[in-house]
Amino acid sequence: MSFLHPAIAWAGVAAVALPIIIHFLFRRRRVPVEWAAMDLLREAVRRTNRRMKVEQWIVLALRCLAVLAAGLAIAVPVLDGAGASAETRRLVIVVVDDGPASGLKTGAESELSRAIGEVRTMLGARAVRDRIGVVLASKPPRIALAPTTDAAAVEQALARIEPAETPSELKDALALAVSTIDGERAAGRANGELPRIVVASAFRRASLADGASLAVARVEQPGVPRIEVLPLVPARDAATDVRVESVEARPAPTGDAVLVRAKLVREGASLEAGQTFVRVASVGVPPPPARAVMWEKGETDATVEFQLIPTGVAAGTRRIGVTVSLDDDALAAGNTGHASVDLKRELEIGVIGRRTSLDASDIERVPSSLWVARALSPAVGSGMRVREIDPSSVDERALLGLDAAVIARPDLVSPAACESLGAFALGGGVVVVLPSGESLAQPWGQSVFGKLGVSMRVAAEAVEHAPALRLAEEQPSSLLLAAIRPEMGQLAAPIESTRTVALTGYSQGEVVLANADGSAFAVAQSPRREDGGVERGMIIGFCAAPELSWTNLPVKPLMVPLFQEVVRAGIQIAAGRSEVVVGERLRGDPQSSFRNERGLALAIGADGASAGIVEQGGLWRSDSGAIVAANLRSASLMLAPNSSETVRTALGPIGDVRFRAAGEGEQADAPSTAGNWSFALLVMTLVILLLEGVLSRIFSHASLRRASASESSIATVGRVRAREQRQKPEAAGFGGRA
Amino acid sequence: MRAEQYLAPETLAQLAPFELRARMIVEGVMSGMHRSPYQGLAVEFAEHRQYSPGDGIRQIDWKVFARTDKLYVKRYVQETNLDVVVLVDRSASMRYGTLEVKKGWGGTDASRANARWTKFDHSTAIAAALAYMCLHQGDRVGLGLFDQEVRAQVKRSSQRDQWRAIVGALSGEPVEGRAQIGRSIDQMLARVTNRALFVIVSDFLMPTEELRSAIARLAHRGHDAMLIQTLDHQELHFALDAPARFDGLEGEAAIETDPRAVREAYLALLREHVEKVDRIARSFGADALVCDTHESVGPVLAALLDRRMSFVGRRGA
Repeated sequence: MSFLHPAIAWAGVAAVALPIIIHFLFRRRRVPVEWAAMDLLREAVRRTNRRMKVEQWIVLALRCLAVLAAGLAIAVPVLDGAGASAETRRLVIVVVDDGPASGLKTGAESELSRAIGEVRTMLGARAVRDRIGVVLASKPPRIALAPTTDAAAVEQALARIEPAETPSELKDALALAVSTIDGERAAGRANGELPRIVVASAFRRASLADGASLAVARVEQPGVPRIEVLPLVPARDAATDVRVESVEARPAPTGDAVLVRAKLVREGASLEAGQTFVRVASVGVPPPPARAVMWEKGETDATVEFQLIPTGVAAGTRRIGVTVSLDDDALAAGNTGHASVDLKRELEIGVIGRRTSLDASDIERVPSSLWVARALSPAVGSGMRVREIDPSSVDERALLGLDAAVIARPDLVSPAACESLGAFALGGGVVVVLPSGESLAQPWGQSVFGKLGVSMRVAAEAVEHAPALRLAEEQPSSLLLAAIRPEMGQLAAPIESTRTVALTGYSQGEVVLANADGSAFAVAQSPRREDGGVERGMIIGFCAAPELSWTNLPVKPLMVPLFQEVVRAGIQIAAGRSEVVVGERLRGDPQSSFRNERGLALAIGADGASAGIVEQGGLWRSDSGAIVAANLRSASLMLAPNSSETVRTALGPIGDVRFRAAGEGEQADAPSTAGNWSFALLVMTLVILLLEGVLSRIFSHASLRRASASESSIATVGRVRAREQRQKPEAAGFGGRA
Repeated sequence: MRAEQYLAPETLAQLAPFELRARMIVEGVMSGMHRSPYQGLAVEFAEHRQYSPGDGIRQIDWKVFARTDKLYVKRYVQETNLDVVVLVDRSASMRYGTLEVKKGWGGTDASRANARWTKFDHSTAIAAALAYMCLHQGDRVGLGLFDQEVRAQVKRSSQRDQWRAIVGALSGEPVEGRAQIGRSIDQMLARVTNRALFVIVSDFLMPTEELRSAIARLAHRGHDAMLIQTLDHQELHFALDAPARFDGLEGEAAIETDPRAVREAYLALLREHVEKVDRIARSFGADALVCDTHESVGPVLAALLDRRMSFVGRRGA
């Protein structure tokens, strides 16, 4: 048994001593009386002594019991033993959706606060009796409080809950709640308890995607009560909110500035015309003036660009973090976005190819290595320095100091050189693999990609396309080309390929560019170690050699930005230092550590990833100067509501779903167990006191009827005479009353 | 000393219709209303009896002989005076009283200490009234005050100042000690040679066996006895309603108890004790009365005399 107010319970137990103390105090305070008939009195006491003691102990015990019962009633007992009835005991798991969207404020308080308040109302009357556990739905779903009857612990657990920045994983949280119930049953602690899951969520899209299910596969066991699911009524209003969808930062081509592009998304039921002020900040960079985004009615997307001049950045700083912020609105979690960017520095790119002096004399015969070299370094000061490497001289020394390597003649790369390139990639380097433009046969695919640690392969022979194969009009939104995504449609339209080699086996990779026939033009994939671990490097394969005998890409505007961005972004992504989604593991140099602005630290393990997930958005800085921008998952901020039917359908497979309206307590369907026990104890106290009063009266032998019966048995002469003389004149002697 | 201080006029008024008669015919040297066993010398005819050799010729009723030709002897009953010995218990238990003493009461050693109408005061009032009445009839009255033994004694007399002597002894003697009625009766029997009426006024809170033997010795010596058991109203009802520590008046060890709890048992024991006293008295042809100190003295004496007169009347008829 436990108590809602244990201190009062202890006080009640201690108060049991009061009747005992009073009993002995009254014994001491007996009034002295002179008495003549001592022999009679002594004999009377002797005859009644045993009975008197029994009576005294009974009355004393009743008084102690009354005090104890009153104390326990005030302390609100919570029975956790077998004393409770099966009809009313419940095992309640409260699943609290504390994802970022739960911080939405549509009034004075957040939806999370309101939900917890409703949970309190719901549990308040029953808290003294039910076993209650708390599960948090933010990633990773976890048990905040194991099932307990300690109402104070439940209250403390609820009070500690704040909106998290990791996305809500309501489905996994419900699975955890169900497994907790099953575990309690298996352990024999839930015998006779009715299972109940209270889902404290507004069920916005951030928690329940359209068409998704929250159900977990569950096999009902015969004779085991079904789980009762009590979700709060889903939010109906679509709150208007503007959030930072993404932030991109890259050095300006001129090299003296950083370009920041922030994409904003607005959602809500009625999107009226309005404006949002956007600010950008970075340490050591003078903040540019805030920009106002003017929203047209119904407009949902907007893009804002800033140019930062890092004049105040300390010398030697290679990377800076950028934070874009909006005016405070309904959901604060979506009002900031972060990015990190390398300041302008010259990248070292190795192009592995072989060309002769005649290659440049005929444009049709210009090899891919030359086209790529020109694309990467079109002019002095372009930020990239190209080093041409002969395939026969590729080794670790040749690759030393390179940020990326472009294999233009994979057919000439020896297996040993491939191993060196594989080690280079596993170390965080970017390797771009182009088909050999010399012949249709491409026998190198198996050996080269295999040594590079990716599953990607190329067909053994190139195929001709007549008419030429064009790039798809809708290109995938690859991070590698995020910088040129807005212009991608224009840039990709004129690209035609007359000869390609099919890329296969890239299901674990990412299509960077796609052909119109659905095949991949360029694919990016992270290398894997032999033990299956993912490394930080990146392998990018192309289906066509950038030569005019294969494709017109070299002479089209896409060529330069394509290779520049693929290499530059690839280097950043491959290094794993630029961006991370809150809720994922942070990647960085092994054995390093990162710390964010709020002082939270994350250690990077030997595998290059943190043991725990990133729980807070913002800029994470390492001791070596690396900066990782942690942004909230965009989907975790979606505020569109779901209908009750959608929620009911999503929760249905778990058990019997019954919505709880705001402010509705448990009294509606079940009596208050806590109140019942307290009330029962109070009633018991009154009954005990009543019984004590009656027994005290009886044991005191103060009954008038008894007294008169005893008195009438001894007739004194005076009394007899008095009766006889009622009809005669009264007369009294000394001492007489007549 | 004024009579009114120890004898209330209304008490005497209640006693006026009655005459004090001994149930037994006592010897008396003075002429009075009491029947004497010495027949033949008095003027009141008692009965006829057939003549037997040895009877005096002067006792033959010649008129009856003339009518019946048979010899009968006349027998007479001589009326004598009554000797009354009042024995009052002056042990410490008689100091108990719960009623406030009335104004005008002369007071005793017991009441002067705590201004309460004690059992001894009540006994004094009874004894004073009884003595006054007896002296008024010409009887001889004596007094004995006893605890473990007879502590004070007023010899029997019918003189006018006898009453003052009796009341003086009652009012002046200390009330203390433990009562031993057997020893006290023995002492009185040694001093009273002629047959007398012993009126014993006490609470009789003593072993009944001791009382039985004492009364038996009185009866065997041919004396008559009246036992007036004087108990306080509180003793009779035990109406205390709070736990108390009872301190014995005769030096007994204290008892702590809740009177309400033991009341029933106490009253049952008291009833049993009173009945035992009554049985003892009746077994020896004596009378026993229970007096409540909160009630008047007159009805007590009146009831006693009423019963005795009717009893003696039946015997004497």
